Amino acid sequence: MISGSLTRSPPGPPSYPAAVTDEPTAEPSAPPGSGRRASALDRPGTAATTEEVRAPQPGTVAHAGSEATTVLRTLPPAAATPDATTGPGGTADGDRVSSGPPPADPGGTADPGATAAPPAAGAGRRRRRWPVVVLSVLLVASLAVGGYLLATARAYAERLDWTEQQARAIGSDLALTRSDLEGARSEIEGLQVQLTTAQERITALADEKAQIGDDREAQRQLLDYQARVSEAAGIVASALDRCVQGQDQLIAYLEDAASYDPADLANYGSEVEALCRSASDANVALQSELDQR
Amino acid sequence: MTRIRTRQVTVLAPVLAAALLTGCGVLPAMPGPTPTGFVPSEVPAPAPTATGNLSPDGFDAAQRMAVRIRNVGCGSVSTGSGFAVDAQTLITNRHVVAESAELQLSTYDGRDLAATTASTAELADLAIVRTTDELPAVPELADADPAPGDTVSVVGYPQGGRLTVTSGKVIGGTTDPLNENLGEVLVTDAEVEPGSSGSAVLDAQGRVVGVVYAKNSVNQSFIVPVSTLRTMLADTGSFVDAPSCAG
Repeated sequence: MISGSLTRSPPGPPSYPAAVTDEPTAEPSAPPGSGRRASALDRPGTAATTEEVRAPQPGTVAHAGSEATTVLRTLPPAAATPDATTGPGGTADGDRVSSGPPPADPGGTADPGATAAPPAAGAGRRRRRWPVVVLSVLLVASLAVGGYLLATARAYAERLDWTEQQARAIGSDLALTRSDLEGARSEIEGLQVQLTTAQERITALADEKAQIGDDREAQRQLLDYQARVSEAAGIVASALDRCVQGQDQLIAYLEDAASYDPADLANYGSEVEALCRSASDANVALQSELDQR
Repeated sequence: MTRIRTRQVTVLAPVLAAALLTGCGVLPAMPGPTPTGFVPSEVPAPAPTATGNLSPDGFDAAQRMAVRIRNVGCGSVSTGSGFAVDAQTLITNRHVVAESAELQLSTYDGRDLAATTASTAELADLAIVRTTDELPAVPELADADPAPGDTVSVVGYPQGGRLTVTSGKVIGGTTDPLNENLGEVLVTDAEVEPGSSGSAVLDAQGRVVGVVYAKNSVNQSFIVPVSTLRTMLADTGSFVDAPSCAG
């Protein structure tokens, strides 16, 4: 039950919905009462693409919900635009005609200018671009990250090689240094033993020198003592000799006392006694020297 | 719907940017510049684990400061010990230098030192001997007398023999049994012998804390405390020229 009438335009070249994708989304207003919708291509000389929609006449009956009542032309649904309002058999709203690609219409009744699709199609295309853009960005980012990781891995590999070479060189130096250290320690131990021996020897030599010095001083003092004792003994011996000689002479004088003056004999006896007393004193001194030892 | 998508994009773009930035933060950084080497140019100086005999000839300071004194008297020769208190002054006992005609000094390594003058203290068994030659080492005098129980070392020439170091502990203080020292003297169990008179008594830090001057029959040694020594050294009039037996 189609209540509306359809005015067909003469057959013309097929129109493509894509032809309207570049059109502005603004929908030109139709003349009042004309009920005509025109696309942006509805220009003079392009009437073949126009499509007139008559308003329902009074007295006509239209079933609500009947798609055919208002759909003058059914456009194929826009791809990837799952919008219910623009789906196949878009619902009519008054005199508005839903957009969407026309269905297969062998009669060639497609009229892109009457679809009112440019705004929805442009938005759909923009909506389709975002995943591409996002995926492209992700791909570029992934490639960049991959490249960066590859460069980093190579740099670390080179650093690892260099570090390993350094470590081996340092290890060799360390082994050599440890060997030198052990040798130095052994040498130090030997030197410490030698130093201890040298110190003991120095101390012993210093002691020997000191003892020799002590002995030298003791010998020198002993020599001095012996010299003093010898001198004292000589004095004692000389005094005793003179004492003895004096006493012998005194004895000879006393045997012939009548021949000498008694006073002279007495004086001579006193002199002899002094000599013997000095000899006794020298002997005391000698004994005193001897007593010092 | 376009507005909704725009909002989604507006929301997703910062989120995506943040995710990218966060991901970049997780990525490992490139290695830094290649170091010139792993061996540091400067290393901390190693601390010695032992002091050892840090002297020009390996002898420690206690040995280097000791001086052997030979008192050549008038008909006698005796020996004693002493130690340096400055470059040309040494300390010994008064009875070590008494009745001397000549004082002969020698160091730990056998070198002879020429003595110029000797001075003795009247209130303590202490004497000062000046030298023309420089003494090998000079110890530090302690600030205080040792306390009972402190470990001390005696460095000297017991019996006029080899340089010897003996150790002991301070027993305590007592009055001078010989009445030669004014004030209190210290008693230690460090072994000394005749010839040790004038030996330096050192504490654990090598500082002089006293001077040996006598011993008793139970092998306890008597020392003039460093406080008395400091007092005597501070009073220049406390020392007078030592009399000589040679006149």
